Amino acid sequence: MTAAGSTVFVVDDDESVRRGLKRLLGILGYRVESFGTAAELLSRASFGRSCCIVLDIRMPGMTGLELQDRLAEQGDSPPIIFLTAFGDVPGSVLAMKRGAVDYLQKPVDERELTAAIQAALRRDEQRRREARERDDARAKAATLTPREREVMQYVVGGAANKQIAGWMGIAEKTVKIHRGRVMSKMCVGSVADLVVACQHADIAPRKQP
Amino acid sequence: MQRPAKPSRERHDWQGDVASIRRLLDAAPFGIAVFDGRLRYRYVNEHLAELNGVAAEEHIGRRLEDIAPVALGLAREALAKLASGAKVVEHVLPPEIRQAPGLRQVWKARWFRVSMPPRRKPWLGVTVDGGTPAGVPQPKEAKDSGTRADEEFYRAVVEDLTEVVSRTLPDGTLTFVNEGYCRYFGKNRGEIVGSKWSPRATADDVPGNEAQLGTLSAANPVVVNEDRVCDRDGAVRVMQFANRGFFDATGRLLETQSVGRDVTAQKEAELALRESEERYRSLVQCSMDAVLLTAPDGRILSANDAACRMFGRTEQELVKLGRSEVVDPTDPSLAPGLQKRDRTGRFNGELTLIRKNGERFKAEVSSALFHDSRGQARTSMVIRDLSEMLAAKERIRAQRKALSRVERAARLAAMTSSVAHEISQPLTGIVSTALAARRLLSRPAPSLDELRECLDEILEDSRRAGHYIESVRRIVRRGDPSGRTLEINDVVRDAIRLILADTEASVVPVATRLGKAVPRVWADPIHIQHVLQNLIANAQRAMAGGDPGGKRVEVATAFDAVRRAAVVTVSDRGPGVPPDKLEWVFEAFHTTRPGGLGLGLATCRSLVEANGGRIWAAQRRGGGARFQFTIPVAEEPTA
Repeated sequence: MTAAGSTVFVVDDDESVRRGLKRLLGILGYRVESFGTAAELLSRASFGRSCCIVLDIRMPGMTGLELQDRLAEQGDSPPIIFLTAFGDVPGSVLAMKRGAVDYLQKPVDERELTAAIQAALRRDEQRRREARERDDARAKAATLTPREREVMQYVVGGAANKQIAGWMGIAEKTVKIHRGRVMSKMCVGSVADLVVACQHADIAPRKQP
Repeated sequence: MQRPAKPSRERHDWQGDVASIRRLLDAAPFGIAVFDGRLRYRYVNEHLAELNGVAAEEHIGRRLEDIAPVALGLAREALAKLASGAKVVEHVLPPEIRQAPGLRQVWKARWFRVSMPPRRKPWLGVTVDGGTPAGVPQPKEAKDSGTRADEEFYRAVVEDLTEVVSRTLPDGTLTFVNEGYCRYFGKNRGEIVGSKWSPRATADDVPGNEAQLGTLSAANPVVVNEDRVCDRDGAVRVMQFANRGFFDATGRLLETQSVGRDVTAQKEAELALRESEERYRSLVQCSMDAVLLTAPDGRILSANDAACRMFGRTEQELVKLGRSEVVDPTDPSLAPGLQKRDRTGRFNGELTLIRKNGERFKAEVSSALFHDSRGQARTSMVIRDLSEMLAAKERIRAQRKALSRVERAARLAAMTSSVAHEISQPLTGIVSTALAARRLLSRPAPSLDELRECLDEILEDSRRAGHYIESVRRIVRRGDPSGRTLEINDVVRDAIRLILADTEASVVPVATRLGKAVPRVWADPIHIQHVLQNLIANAQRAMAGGDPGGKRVEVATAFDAVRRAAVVTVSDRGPGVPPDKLEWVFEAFHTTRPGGLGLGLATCRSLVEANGGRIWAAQRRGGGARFQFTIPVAEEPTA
């Protein structure tokens, strides 16, 4: 994977660190945006493009760990690589537990840093793909009528057409028509794909009325 | 009150012979002495003879000062007072006089006039309370001349005695009372003689007294008893009577002669003494210090619980053993200590003592010489076991040592971590920039400008690291300040100008309130500037973020006349310093700020102290922190 077009957000209260990382990562081909405080990042950055965050764990005001929490609360956090100076080890365990990509000691090794950034960007790719699929599935599910939606839930719950007809008090033939519309509206060719689409759209299967 | 009848009318009522009168006096339960006009003993009863330690007959004709020199002054004073109209002169003797020879154990003396035949000067009588009243000495058979002069004399003494004298028939009818009796009970002699004694005793006591008097017999002619009586004012008093029975040849009781005196005060004093002794005893018993009551000859008379515990012995054992077994006799301080106590009454010092198991130990002993209520020389020893104290001291020292080891290790860890943290920041910049520069060089046509920029940044970061190392070194080994006389206000202005020149820091305004009459100080201006910059930067950081309204750092100067120093105050309206951290903020590598070093304030303290000042933190009234430091004024005449 290439660096081209990916953004690395550098958050560190130390001017030297910000400047050095910005220069290095810039030469490596990343777009770099740097912030002196966690609050600045929260207020200015948008995470729609391919991106990751290189975050100092110990900062005045909001600490790196607090920022991690805030981003997690917002629900759509880019992957985080923590940087730490000597002596912040207790924080590292916590950071990793909460899903940080890596935890690097200052001064950072170039290979370590680029490897971590690559891993982070891969994870970000996946994050954004999942987000896209989720949005996609939700948009499609929104076009279903209530009847179609009910039929879909029974189908992904594993029920046969006959059972569904009995539960809903309609003809089996009608169930088949609904089912066909569901498959075409959700743009899927198999029940297995429909199950995945429902998961993305966060729609629960039904096993009985 | 009716006047008592004249003695002349009463003379014939006295029915005894001279010998019986005299026996009455001899057997009195208190001391009686009579002196002539030149203060020579003319009569001494058995009780007083025993108090004086000189046989009664050996007193006669000798002068008062030969036997009881201390009493001479009292006698002269009494004579003077009696001559000027006093009926009785009473002396309650202070304890120190009671120790004097001749007045041993005497605690009260009552002087009275003994009327002598017309044209002769009156003699001086004294009755004395003291000694142990329990044992009444048996009067020896006195050789009496039986002359009329003798009889007159004894009659006079009996009559003039301030104490109460009476004679009673076996059925309780009084046949004689002296004037003292009449005075005491406030009755006329005519009213009393012929009546029974019992109405004057409190009703409760009458049966007991009658029973006691019933034991009088030829073989046991003297009974001492105590009566509660009602005096002339109706107050209940305690009287002690010595009653002597007179018997005929068949042993039948003819009459009883009684001498009594008011012992209420004495009883009360005894009770008070007993209570106070009990109090002291419980105080001594409960004392954490070991206390021994000893005699100057080395006997141990009693020991409290702490003493028993300390020596590992029971009180009985200690009493049996005596001092020589519990104090190491070979201790060279012992003999001088005892000598000092004999000389000055006190001794304080260290002695070697011996426990039951033979263990010798050092103890702080404080000993005093005193006399108990009976006048016996006694000594007390209050002992504090130093071995326990020394052991405890040693334990505390060891604990402190361990603690300081832990503390040193913790400080070292904090310092290492802090230094590493702070060095790693510019180092990260240096490494990253160098890596970037190398990448640049591998390009076909690297930009020299960009490479120069990289090198500049690397140099800048390196310098920063160097500064940091310098500031650590300043704490570890602060340099000698190159002091000079300067205006503190100038330094403050310079420091603020420098701060405001730094664009990043000038977000929070700095207000000044500079004292006008602050004398010049002696200090290194670079040091003071560094301290001020640190404190102001801290204050600004404390208010970083959030609404800029109302944010302000205030720097004030003033003169503290007591400390002879300029006081500089830097206050902010930030969150302030938690009270439990106020003392810690100046510790190196201690920081309350995430990302903070914990070096700034430590450096400030180091610098302020190097310039002879003090620095401290407090909470600002109304919220925020207040840091203050002093710089001593220059030693020069202030204009």
